[in-house]
Amino acid sequence: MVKGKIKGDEKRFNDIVKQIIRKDLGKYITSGELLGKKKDNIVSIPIKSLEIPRFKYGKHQGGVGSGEGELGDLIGIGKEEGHSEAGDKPGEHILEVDVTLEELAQMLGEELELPFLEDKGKKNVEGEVEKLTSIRKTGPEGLRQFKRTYKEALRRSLQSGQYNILKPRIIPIRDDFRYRSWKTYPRPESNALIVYIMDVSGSMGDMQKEIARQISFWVDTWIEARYHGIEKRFIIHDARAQEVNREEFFTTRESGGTKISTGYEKAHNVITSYYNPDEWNIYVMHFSDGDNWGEDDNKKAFSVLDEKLLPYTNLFCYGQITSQYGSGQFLKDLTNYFGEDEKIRTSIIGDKEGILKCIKEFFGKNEKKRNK
Amino acid sequence: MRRKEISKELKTIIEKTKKKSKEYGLDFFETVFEIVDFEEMNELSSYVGFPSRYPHWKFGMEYTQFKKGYNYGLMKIYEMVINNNPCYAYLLESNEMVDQKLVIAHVYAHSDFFKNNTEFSKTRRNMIDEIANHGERVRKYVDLFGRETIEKFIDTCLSLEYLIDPNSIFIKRKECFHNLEEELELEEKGLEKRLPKIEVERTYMDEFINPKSILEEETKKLEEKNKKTEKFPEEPERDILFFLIENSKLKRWQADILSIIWEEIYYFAPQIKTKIMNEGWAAYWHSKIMTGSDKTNPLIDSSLAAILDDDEFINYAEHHSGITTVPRVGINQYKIGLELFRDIEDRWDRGKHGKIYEEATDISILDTWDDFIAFKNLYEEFKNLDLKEKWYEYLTFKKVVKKMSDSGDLYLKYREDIPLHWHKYLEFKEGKENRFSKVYSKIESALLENKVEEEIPEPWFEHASKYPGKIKIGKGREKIFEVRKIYNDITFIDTFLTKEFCEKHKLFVYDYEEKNNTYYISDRDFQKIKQRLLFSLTNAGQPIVEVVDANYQNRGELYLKHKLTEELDIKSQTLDIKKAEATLENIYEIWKKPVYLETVLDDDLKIFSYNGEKHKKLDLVN
Repeated sequence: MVKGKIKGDEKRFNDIVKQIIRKDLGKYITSGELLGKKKDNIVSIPIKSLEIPRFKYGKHQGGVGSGEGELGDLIGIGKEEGHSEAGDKPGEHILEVDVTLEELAQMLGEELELPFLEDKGKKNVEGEVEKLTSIRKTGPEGLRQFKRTYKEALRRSLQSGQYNILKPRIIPIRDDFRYRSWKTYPRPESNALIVYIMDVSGSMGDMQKEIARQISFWVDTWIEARYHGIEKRFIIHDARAQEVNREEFFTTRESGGTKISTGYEKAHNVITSYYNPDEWNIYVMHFSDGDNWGEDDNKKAFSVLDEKLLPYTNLFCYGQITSQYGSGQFLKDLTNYFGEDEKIRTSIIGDKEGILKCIKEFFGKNEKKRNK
Repeated sequence: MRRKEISKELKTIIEKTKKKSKEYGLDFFETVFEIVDFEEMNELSSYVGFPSRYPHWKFGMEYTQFKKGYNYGLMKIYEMVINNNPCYAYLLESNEMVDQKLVIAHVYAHSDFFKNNTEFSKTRRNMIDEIANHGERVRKYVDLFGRETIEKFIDTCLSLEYLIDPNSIFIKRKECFHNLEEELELEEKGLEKRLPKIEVERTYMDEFINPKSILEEETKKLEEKNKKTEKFPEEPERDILFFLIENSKLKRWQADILSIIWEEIYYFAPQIKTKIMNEGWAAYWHSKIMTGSDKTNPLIDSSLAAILDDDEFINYAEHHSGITTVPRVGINQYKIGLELFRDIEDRWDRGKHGKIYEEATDISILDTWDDFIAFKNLYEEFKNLDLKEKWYEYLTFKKVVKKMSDSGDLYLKYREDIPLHWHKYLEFKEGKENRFSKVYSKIESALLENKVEEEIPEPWFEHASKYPGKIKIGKGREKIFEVRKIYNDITFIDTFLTKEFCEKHKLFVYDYEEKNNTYYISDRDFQKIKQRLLFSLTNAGQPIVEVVDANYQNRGELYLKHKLTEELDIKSQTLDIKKAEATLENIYEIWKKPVYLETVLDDDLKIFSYNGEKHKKLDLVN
């Protein structure tokens, strides 16, 4: 018996599944359910379209069962598409495939054809770094990974039917043991830093904030997937700005007036306080509904951008999310002020459907500044 | 790749179990065992027991599901056996010894089933080679035409996989497929109708059995027939797959691949048709062999000992019950098959079958059937006073045996077995020694002290007189061997499912309620249960579709008909529309001309059609 022939078929299946997921990517991305999850989180995605079509009954079919119960008693709940709960018909359950958030984000990158963020040729730091990020089946006891070992033993025990829920006893066999191991990473040739700025003022409604978060989340997840060790900073502002952590960024509910300049000032502060702009590739993203507190603050914001941020950033992305309260004036003024600047990319997002488009407009290949 | 060593201990167990199985009468092909680990077992399961198959993502999909434990359901895969000679069986490396014993016994029973059940009599027993050959052929085509082309075509073929005639297994397989060149030439002669060669070994006889002259004559006859544009096919054809291979304009490699799909589904079809029986048979035997319970059946002369050690017994019980746990919805195929076999054995041990049983209505007869049978056999031999005496002797015998079992002089597993001892006792009195001889001789004297005198219920005489001849008892074991040979799931259920069985095992019919999207218990009536079960087994519960006209509208278009059944109301036989349309597209792929399907859509009869570009739905004008 030759072991392993199935790997080819498995890979083929995975490739097909990835294609299917990529096609429906927008759906998963904008569903909002995944917001806030960590990149290793596994998501179960139901794949309906991979079934080979046959002549089948459309309606749910009854059948024969056994057990206690009166006539009329409820014994099961129907799944979609004529699939019953019955365990006697193999292969009728809906196919669900596990994907990590990271994989989803990578698909996003491929689907939108997002390139590597362009390196502006900062100072190269050479060398390699070893990280204990990989797992292998052998190793010194000191590096034994308990969790993975236990998981393997548990899985094996469950699948071979030995697991006794009343007397749970997991005894790992040699094959179960897992040990941490090194993976050598080339130290990134350039260091990258992303600063996310979000307008959380009153005019930014829940939907607008949601959109801003979703875009930030996916960009963040995608970048995490492509680059290891990237730095990120999160800033929220209304009439004042403050730096927050990732979690707060994704959950906060401020609501005050709007002074965009404060956001940019804060960003500049944070960046220059902690990083040497000469050594870092810096990317800044800002989301707002464009309803700033008057022309004066617009001017102020532009001068901060022009004189402070733009000189050292590789890319500044401004995403304006349409809101019924916002005038959207900021984008117009920004465009007027800067004209065609290759460091600035903008996007208008009307609703959730525009999320993917925005990401593409920010990071897509050879995109010129767009204005709709 | 290293093959895992079978430990000495395991080898001993295999030998022991093999010997025991043979002693019980199991008759199997030479069986080769292999130890595999988890990953290998998942891989084998994905390939349905074969080391490899043709390349296709569906196997990858199965594998992914197996890895997650989804496909196991209630059944924890301990083993994998294939219908082949020699039989190959795979044991999971990490099984404890008690599991291995159970599995090995289970395997031998499967092997016996494959070898002896008539549904399998025409299957290839060298399928392992054949399937490997299929894989090679497909891989060759992948090399020639590219993976994507081949994969797409296989997807198309798989869509039609179940459009076969499961009852045609015994019709000679036509050897057309391997003479494709010849047939493509025949295409030129009008309708692509080929004269199937009678299946023969490819030897010199070929020339003689299908001499050219006769073939030419037959072909001419067909041509004349065709000129009259008679209906083609004459009768509705259920084996659509085969029909397509024979009659559509496929490229040689396409016809070959379609024929591979056809061959494989026909190979697996008997397994689908006998799943309940096969699993029941295997569960019956692993239980029997493991616990050696033949000792407790008085009617069986052998006293084969158990294979299990005492402390393994508990473990075994757990695992066995894991296999036979009953799900709420749907039936556990192991359990129903197992219980039916046991029921059959019990009934044939006690003469609880045939007209004498089926036509009995009197409660006193049915409630104490064993007593009635004892009476019946005495009635055949004795009359009047003698009969009475003998009857009292029987009653007394029962009392004594019960006493002896209470005091430990006789091992009695079930109270119900007491009457069975009577028959053995009669044998003993006739001079036939058996394993109870010692005990029976003690009984003789005890009979005098324990006289019981009760009257024979009146209705018994009449009923006994209706059916001449003694009733055979103790035929249970023989009967189940016969059953495993000649029945399939449908005939098995049809013949042996009884009202009592349904009641005992609390079977019910369940239905779906659209409003709340729920399933509920709808009936416990025996006939309804049986009907529903048979329906779900017919054509594996799939709608039946046939080719009715391959020259529709005189333009060579293909007309299919969904054969509706009376078992369900019209509305619930509506097909899944999206899937039906996609399947029609796949049929079009092969037929290359418009395809029609006459079917039902809710309350109306409709014709779905596909012409390569558009799907249409027309009302059926009749």
